[in-house]
Amino acid sequence: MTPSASSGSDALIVASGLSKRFESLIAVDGVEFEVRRGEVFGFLGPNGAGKTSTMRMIGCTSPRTSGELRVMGMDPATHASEIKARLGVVPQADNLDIELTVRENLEMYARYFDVPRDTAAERIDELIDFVQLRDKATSKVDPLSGGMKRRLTIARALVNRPDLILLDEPTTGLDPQARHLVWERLYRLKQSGVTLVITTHYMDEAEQLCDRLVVMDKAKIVAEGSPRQLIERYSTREVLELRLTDPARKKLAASLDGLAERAEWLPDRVLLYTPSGDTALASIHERGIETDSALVRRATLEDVFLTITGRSLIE
Amino acid sequence: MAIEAAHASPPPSLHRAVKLVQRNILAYKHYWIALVSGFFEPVFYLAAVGFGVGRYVESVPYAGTTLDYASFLAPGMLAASTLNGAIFDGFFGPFFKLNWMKTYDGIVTTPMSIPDIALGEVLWALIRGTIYGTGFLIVMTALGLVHSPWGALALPAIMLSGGALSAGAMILTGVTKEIASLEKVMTLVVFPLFLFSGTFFPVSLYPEYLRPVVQATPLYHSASLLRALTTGEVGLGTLWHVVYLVAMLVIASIVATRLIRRRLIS
Amino acid sequence: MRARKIVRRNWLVHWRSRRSSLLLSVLTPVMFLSAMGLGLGSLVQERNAFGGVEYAAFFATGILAASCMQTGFFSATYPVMSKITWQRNYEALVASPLSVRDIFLGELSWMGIVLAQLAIPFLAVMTLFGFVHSFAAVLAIPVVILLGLACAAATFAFTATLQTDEPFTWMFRFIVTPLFLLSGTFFPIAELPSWAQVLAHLTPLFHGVELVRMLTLYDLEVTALWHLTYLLVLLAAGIMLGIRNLERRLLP
Repeated sequence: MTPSASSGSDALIVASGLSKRFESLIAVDGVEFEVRRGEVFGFLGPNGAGKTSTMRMIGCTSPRTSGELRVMGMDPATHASEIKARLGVVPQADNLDIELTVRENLEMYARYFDVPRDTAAERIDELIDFVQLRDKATSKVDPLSGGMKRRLTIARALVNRPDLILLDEPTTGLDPQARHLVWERLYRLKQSGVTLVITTHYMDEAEQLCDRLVVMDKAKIVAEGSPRQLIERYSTREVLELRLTDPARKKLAASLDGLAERAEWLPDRVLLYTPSGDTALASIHERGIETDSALVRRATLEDVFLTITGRSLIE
Repeated sequence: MAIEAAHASPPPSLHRAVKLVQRNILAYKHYWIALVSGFFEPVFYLAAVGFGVGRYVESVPYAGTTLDYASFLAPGMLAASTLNGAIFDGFFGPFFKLNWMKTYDGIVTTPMSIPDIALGEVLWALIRGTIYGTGFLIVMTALGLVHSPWGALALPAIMLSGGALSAGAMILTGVTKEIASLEKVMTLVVFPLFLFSGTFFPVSLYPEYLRPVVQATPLYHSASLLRALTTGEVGLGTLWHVVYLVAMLVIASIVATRLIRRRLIS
Repeated sequence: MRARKIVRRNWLVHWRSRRSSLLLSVLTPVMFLSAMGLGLGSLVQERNAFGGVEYAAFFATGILAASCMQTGFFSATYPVMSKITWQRNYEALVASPLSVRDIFLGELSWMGIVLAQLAIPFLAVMTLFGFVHSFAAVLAIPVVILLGLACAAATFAFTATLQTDEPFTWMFRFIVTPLFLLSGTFFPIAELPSWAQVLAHLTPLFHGVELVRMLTLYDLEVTALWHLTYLLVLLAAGIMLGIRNLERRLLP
């Protein structure tokens, strides 16, 4: 039932040369990655990069076109039911059962997973508390806020005590407060040792949650590592963000030498990659360039993505 | 390609399909009124057309003899009530679950397979069709419109008809995506079936060349089977209706499962 | 997204209630008239009970009026509810220079157009079937639109007071469908027990059906004025009550 995976028993997902083609569109193009037990693994990339297609192949709801994929040592093409029994899935768009109440949603999913009734009742109580929906338990799903629906979806994904949870854009569309509440719950799960796979196009989400991540762009994986490693590898430690008038912009472009390792000219801002933002800013002022505003910050995954692809994550 | 082919899932499990039935029962606790009210339409037609208009109908030619109009119409409406149940639960319900509520998208992430879901929906539609049909059969009996002990077999016939029509309705689910097409299906498929399947008037009234068309429709077989049983005019031909409906149940279930899989697994 | 599911589900069940394309709006009467008129009608030899015309023509006139009534009822239920509660279109419109009165009358006019789209092809099909016996039949079009609007305005007034759409299911099953079947659409109300005949006289559909039949099949009688008055009074009452209720709802 659980043939050991080729690359060690602690690898829950192993993919190599994994591809997905829809008629003329190549959604995923020969990707290779490994997710280990107990880690939070992320797919970072803009919309359309192939993250969701990859997730759906892992979740056995989309057959792969070619390549190898093993989930908990099994092949989704032949062992879909067995794999799905041990998975929790939080899809990109909520697909809660809106004809049922909050509690009934969890009860039905417990049944789909063949959780014995007594165990299910107990577990559902715990989960409702875990996602803080106690006073909504008998409410229909429809009137819930976006954040509550997301939390219920997360609870639903936990009802079978999965070994692996797939979260596709878990906080997209939520307001900041609701996002933080979701992150906090996910962090608790991570601490309890559950393996999480997350897709996101928010760099802060990836930085907060992921132990390791791959950056995807145009159906391919373009970088891999921990958030720290990726920033070290693809960016400088600090970034100087400048807003300039058009003449000042031209002036800066003409006298950029020695100011920074790299510059990104965005429509509204200029980003200068430099070990020390303050030093760079001082020398800009020395050169007589006036700045409307200047901000020194630490480099983020957004900068990593910009460096690798020349585009920003959210366009 | 070889890998995609390998994804062909195993046959449905009754154990899992029943869970979908449980889900629908749970959902219907909130919509019980819809469940009850679906029963009334055929009763209204029986009252208004069967008795209201029927009093002006001398008799209807049927199986070499003649019938009073209400006795002719009632089994037709009985068949129509199973069609009602099938359309409600084999088409509208799954349509909204598939396209609007995305209920199935969630369920396929669990060990439930698409054949499980399809079987579950057909079972549920069959249950509802049976409830409607049984209610209507009771009304018919009370009104003295069941003329033969064969009428006892109307109950399994209702279930068969409900199952076959539901499976057919699931095919419609598999091929429709937009709300506008629901309306087209209602106008171009369901409504003509309801009117022209030998439900309101006998097939012998059609011109010769149209009869084979009518006799090819599922509701014709369902209505004819039920009429044979409630009037007692049972013969070898009756068996042909049973064969047709059984074949439809099997074939339509398989086709519907394939079509719905295409929509959920891509 | 919310309850729209139920909305759609319900309106689909009422196949008579909306037709988006001309093809469908012609096909429905063609099918209905062929089946009930020609099919069932061929079994009916009786003419006296139907005022001396064949059953098919009697039925056709009844179903024309009944379809318009049903469309009138329907267009003031879920679509209006949706604009009040779910999508809040009216809330946005109230913020514009439009008054509640404008909104109400605007909606009602739109419903009139929808009704015309239903009635005109229907009458055309009836004419082709030979079920129209007089040129006065053209006047049946404004009559059935009036019938539909009277039902729509009254329903609108009711809908404006509702918090949920639940009563609609009841309304259709236990008010609209019985009306449809028992207001002289399928058979003359003389057949009904006397208490039910009294009830039928109170329904808008009965008056609409009678008017349509006078215009298309029979001779006009003085009673036509009474039927017309009934429908006009219902429409006026519906409009007044509707505007008042909608004002209360939108401008608390």
